[in-house]
Amino acid sequence: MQIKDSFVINASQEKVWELLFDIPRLSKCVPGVESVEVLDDKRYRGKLIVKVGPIKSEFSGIVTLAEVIPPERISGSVEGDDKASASSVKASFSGTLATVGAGTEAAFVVDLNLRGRLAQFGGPVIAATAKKLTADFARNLRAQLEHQVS
Amino acid sequence: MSIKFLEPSDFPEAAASLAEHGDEAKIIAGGVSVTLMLQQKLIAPPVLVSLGRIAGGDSIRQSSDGLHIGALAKLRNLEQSSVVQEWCPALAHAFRVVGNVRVRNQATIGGNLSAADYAADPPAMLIALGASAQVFGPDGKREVPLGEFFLGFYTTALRPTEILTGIIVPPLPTSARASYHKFSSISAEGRPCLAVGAVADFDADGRCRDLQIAIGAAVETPQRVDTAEAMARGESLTDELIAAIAEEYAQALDPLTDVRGSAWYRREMIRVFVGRVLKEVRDGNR
Amino acid sequence: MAIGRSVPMLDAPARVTGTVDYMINLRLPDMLVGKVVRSQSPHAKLLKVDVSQALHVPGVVAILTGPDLGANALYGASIKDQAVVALDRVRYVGEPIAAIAAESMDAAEEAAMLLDIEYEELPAVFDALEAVQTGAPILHEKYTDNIFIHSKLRHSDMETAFAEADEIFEDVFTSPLAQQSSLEPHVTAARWEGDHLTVWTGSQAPFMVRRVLSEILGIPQESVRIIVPPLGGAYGGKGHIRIEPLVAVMARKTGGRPVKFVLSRAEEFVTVTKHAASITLKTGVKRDGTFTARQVTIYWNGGAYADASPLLVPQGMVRSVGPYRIPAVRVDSYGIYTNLPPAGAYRGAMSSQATWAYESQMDIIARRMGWDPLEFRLKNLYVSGDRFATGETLHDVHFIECLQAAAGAMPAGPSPEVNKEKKVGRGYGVMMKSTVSTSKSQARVKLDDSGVATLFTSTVEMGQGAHTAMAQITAGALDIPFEQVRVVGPDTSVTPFDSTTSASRSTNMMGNAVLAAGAAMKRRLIDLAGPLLEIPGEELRAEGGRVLTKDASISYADILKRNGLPSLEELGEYSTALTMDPETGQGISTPHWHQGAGAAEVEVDTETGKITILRYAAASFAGRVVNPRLAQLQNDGNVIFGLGPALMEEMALDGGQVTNPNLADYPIPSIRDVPLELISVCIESEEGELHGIGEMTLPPVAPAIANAVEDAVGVRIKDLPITAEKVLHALQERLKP
Repeated sequence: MQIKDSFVINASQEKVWELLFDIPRLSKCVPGVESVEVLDDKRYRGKLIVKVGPIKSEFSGIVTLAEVIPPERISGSVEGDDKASASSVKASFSGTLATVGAGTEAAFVVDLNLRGRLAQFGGPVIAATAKKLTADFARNLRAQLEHQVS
Repeated sequence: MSIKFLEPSDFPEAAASLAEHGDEAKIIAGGVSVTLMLQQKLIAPPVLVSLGRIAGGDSIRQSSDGLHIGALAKLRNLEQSSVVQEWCPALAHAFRVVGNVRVRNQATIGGNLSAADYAADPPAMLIALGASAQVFGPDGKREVPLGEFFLGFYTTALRPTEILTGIIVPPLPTSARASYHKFSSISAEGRPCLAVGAVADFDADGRCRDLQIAIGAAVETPQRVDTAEAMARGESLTDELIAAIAEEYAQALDPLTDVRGSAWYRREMIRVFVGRVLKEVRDGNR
Repeated sequence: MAIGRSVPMLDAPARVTGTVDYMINLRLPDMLVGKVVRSQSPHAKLLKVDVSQALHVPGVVAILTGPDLGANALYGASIKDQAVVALDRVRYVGEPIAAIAAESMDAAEEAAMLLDIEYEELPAVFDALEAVQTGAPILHEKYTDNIFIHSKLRHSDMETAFAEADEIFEDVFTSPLAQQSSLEPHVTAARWEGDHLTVWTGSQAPFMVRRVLSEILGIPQESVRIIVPPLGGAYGGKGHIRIEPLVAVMARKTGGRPVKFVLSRAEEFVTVTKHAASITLKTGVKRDGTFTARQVTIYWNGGAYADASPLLVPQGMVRSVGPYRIPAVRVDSYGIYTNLPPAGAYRGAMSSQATWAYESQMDIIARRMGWDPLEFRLKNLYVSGDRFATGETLHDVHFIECLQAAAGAMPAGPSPEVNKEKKVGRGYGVMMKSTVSTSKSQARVKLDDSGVATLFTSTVEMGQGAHTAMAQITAGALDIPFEQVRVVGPDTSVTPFDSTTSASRSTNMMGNAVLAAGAAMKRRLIDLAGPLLEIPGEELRAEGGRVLTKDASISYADILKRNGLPSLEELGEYSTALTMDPETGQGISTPHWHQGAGAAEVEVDTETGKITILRYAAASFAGRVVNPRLAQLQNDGNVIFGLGPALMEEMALDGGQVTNPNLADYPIPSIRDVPLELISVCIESEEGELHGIGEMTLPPVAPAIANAVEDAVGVRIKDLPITAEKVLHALQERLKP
């Protein structure tokens, strides 16, 4: 499944890029992130809790960065699993930033592959959940940056 | 798994159990949704709070302010109830088409609504009828219009320690007519591809005074389209107007894709069935 | 006379009230429960399977993984490419990687969560046509094009034959991945006692299971006992080895404790499937309404392991030609590896997909040439004495009668017009299917001195009424009342050999074995009665439970008593061994032909594409019918079953993962989907052979409906299932300028 989106943030491209690497602040932008640990300069370990109604899943996994081209492009992959639901997720992502007037346009693509028991949940539910997660991320990112008046 | 099975005798006791066990507790009524989720191992609650022993929780009665349905009323009883049939035959029909008789013998309306499965029948008809959910929680009772009750996939406006205790369907004017249609694209006993519930009130000249149409099973939560409903107010429901309203519904909604139909197909079906249901409401009986 | 009577099915009340002792109820002393841990990757190297943490879970008794397997870790009906549990590679989502035996399912599941599994992903391929392309991921090194079997039929010169055609039609028809969906899932239990193994399993072929287990475990067949309780349906899904090796090997690690595995519905979908298939038919016809040539190319999606496909793909080859006189025929039937669960037999194996193709094309041809679809068929259907594309002469074929019976059940005159949104149309389908060419059945009949006969048979009762039919045949063979017959089996330590209960072979082949045993028993009784009556054997006959002449008689029971015999036993056997040339497919493909036809009248809602079946008539050739009522129910059941693949069933996949492994999202026909009117005709032949009837009216269902849809609204669907969405889409496309 692929999710593609783009949005404009009222902040400079440098400030946006800075936030992407400010792990504590960035983690707060992703709803359901529980703990993030820096393993090395390219890898992070974390936990993500996703709830759909009564169904709660907890994915533990690793984010590995591939390309890091400041201040415009970042890409990488995520691999995580939720033992309790015998499910796992593999995703690859890429994000690009571009200056647009006084702000920044952030565009991203996520290719997501959910496997295991949760994958049987139903296409529309998984798609909607993934879209909501990325939409919330975008909104929180914007909020973090636009409240920073400097 | 060893699950603690609690059987409170009234709603306050049930709500108290929920509050006590927090995240660990899950309500179970008829068990149709819960058992499936347990079997598919999507949930694993250590505590189940059963509503099965709550006396009078399944009552169905008419009152001056509306039709009162206890959350624990079984779909089968609702389908066969003369009270419901008299109140609104289309509503009885919406209960009758759920799954098969074995499911309906077990499933409760409270469970059906609380599960918020998008591919369900009763919600669309109840929303078109303007029904409200009666909720009991630690802060006491409150009422939530059903149109605001469904928030997303499997997600309702119920707070974690609240329980749906009943539904009130407001009285229908005698000049009103209702119709419900479940469209199964594949198996007759399968979940709906599309659910359409409509209620229209007519004045003495046959012009439409008021119109509510709710679409279910095609979108994440059952929805009405105000702009489309407004098109009918004060007008005669001609074939052309009906087609225009149906088109407005088809364009305004963002249908989903699943094994029962693609978004494209659902959009076509919205157009077809809003049209058919409106014609039935126009031409048929109550 | 028991044969020909509509006696009620022996276990019908038990089945309907749910009191049949299905395997799921089996409880053995000290029994453990089993759970399979499965691959989440469609194709990967298995780098690590660490069970150390899992073993510490209280209640876990043993865990089985690849390293536990001995030398014979691989098995397969013909190509031994499938491991009992994955060794160093996994090839489909759902492939067993480990098995856990524990005191409770909770413990097993907790342990499953603690297994540490590491995969190194490999590229995967799911579509058969893609899998044979250069550069596609290779599943098994030996088969670099992923083609593990290629069955060929060559009959006459294709080039000349196509040159003689006035019109050539080339069409591609597809059937999706589907599942047998028997109500009862796969359940297997195993117990070792020293070097002896007993396995209880829901299998259609207990002796096959015994042989394969003996090979894998390296023990003699006599040390393996297979017991098969009554099944809750099988439809081919239990026709070959499934989880028996895994359970047997698991049971070796539990210190003698028996272990039982019950698969969930979701697991059923990754245990065995119905082949997805793409069939290209190139057919040449002449303006006079006859055929000149047919070339068939079939890509069977076999899934990740060859499994039963090497046996089924050649059968698919024979079953794909169709029941029409075509002088030149060429078939290429390919079995292809892909990263999907292994495909196996399905009710009407390979015939469903094949009939979908050739019967759909019949109407395509008829409409383009301006011929009536019914007349076109009747003109070309085989009659007895014709030669088939394998060179064999057809005997006892009644295709014309079947089609006429089905068509005749439709009301006369054109279809009624309902309203402008709903259009009605009619369509037909005819099916020609082989049965197993080489197999053997043995039956042992025991008569005791109270006159009760017991039939020992390894034919499996799976809800089709096989034991009832066999009891009737036994009663008929001995000429005693049906009520005096008991049936025992299958149990490989007690009941004699039978190849398999599949391909609708049992009524015919086990039936013939029973007849042989019965005949032998009668001869024996006559020999024993002679001296007692003081009448020479040639003047005696056995009738009505007695041996008699005009003036004297003695009952079977008395014959035994007076000879001091508590019982008598006789063994009967029936077998066939037919061969075909592997390069040309010429030879004898089947001892007799299965024949069925269908006629459908459907209503299509042109605004939604929804199809309602108003009337369906199914006709099959049933030979000498054992039980008219059960035969009719089989016909009916086939049609209802056939509605699934025709209109509803399709496994949804995402990256090789099945995303609808449940009966809510994979709909199977419900009682309310049954046609408004369902008519069943069994063409009988009293002097004829006992005939199978389990599959005949199934394959014609899908093409008859598709043909009726085209008749109604002028659209042709070539890819199953025929969904309302596809019909609507086609209708809209057709209206575009």
